[in-house]
Amino acid sequence: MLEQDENAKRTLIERYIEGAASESELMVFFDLMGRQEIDRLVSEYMDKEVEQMLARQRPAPVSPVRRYAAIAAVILITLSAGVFFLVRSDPDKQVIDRRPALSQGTLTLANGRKIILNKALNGKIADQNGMVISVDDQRQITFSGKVTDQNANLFNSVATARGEKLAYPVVLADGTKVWLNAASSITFPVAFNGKKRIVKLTGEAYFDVAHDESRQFEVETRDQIIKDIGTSFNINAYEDEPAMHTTLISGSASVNNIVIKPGQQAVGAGAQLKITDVNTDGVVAWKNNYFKLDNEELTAIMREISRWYNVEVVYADQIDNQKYYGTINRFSDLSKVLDKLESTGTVKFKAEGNKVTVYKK
Amino acid sequence: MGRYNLYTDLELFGLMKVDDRGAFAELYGRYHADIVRFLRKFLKSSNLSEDICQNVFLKCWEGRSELPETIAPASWLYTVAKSRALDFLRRVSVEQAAASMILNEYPTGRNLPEENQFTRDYLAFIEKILDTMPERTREVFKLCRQQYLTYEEAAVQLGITHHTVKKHMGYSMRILKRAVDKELGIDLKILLAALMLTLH
Repeated sequence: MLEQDENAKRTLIERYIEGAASESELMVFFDLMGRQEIDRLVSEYMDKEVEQMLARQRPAPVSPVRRYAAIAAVILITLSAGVFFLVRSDPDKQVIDRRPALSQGTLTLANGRKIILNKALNGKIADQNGMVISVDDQRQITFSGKVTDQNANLFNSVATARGEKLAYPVVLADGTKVWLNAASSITFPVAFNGKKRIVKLTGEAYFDVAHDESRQFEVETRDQIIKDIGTSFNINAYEDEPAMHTTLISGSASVNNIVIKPGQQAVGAGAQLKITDVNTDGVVAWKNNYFKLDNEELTAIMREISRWYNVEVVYADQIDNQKYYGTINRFSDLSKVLDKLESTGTVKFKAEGNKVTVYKK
Repeated sequence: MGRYNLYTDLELFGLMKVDDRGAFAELYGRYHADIVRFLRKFLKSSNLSEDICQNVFLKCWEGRSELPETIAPASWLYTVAKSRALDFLRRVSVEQAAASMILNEYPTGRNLPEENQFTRDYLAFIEKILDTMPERTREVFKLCRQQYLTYEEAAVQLGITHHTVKKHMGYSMRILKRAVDKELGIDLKILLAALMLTLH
């Protein structure tokens, strides 16, 4: 096989897995799959995933004593927001630190043109058949103009990569505001002209919906469809999280047609949807630039860190998945965050380049 | 919570061999969610992943007398899940039902990050395969697209017959193929909708 073809096949498989493949790519992917030309490669990707899942698995019980010890391990981090004490100097710790997420994102216009949304933008940035996109004086990206036949079917998307966070909220044509976390994307029509306002989300976003009884607002995600009845809510639909969750902050909304109240969270998919009461401060902390740990498991914290600092997290030892409490400034360098977790937990970290390895203390 | 949580995975396999249902329930509880997650990563559909996972556990229980004693049960479960997932992916290009399960839940495509030699090579590769692709594969995809806008709905909207819409759909697929490849990431259904409007 040509090396060039091999690379293309890998890219195709990766884009399929990421959920990024276009119609044409999907056709090619399944055609090659049916002709058994990429079986071996897909199988490789599956093996890699299995390996990672097995590594992540909690250790199997060895003796009853061990079980109870694990249950007892809940840890409290007490630290005031933004204040850090760097007392230890670990020779293993690498010198160059990982900076927190960049204030940046990418806007993709209907014609495929890409615009990098960085802090420097100001004023009008694009015009799509009468729909004007600009950065206004309140530092928001706005879509404004008249709905016409020419712009009614145009779709745009705004996306952040791992290690990126959008500096601005996006104000859609109907006035709905959306804040995007790292490694997330939202796809929406530049103008809403139907009976429903439908947008698609991957990753995590906070929505402040401009209520309009005659045009229902709907967010489609991997596992849930969220319908607004006049609302602010937070949706976490990251692919690498065990289950997606939608949290209602104010107003009223339904998730997969089940109505939830402010302070409630809908977790999961389909008929297995669970509704629980949560502390919403923790859920929206990312929007206010904090990591808020509220009885959070280490593995969940590490997933968030990996998206925010764009690092890969590897577990070298089997660890007890302890729970942490505390608040950490999101604009801290990675080493500070790791130090804080290390000083109160039973794990230690080694950061090298874009990889963080977790060891048992 | 019974005593089962104290057994190792291998011990649970052992108990299942003597028909212990509680052991099976414990194993299911330990791995069910992870296996669904694993399947969903490759199959994209939650329902499908759940079904296949049930199937894996069914095989595990029905074939309990022959479960291996030297392989970690978790590895065994993942191996079965993996082979089922691969089998399913092979069927998609020829079976419309299989295709629609995945395609209906597949997110809207995203553009490639940047244009360079590598992405140009990649697009050329995609184009090359599309050109050689058997008609039946495209047929399956075309049928699946009914999910977005059924022929009937389109016919009513445009005030033309079902048959005419079908003809247009087939035609538009062919002429749009190249355009779509050039603008990789632009959703075909958006282009189709635009084309429908101009036809009108």
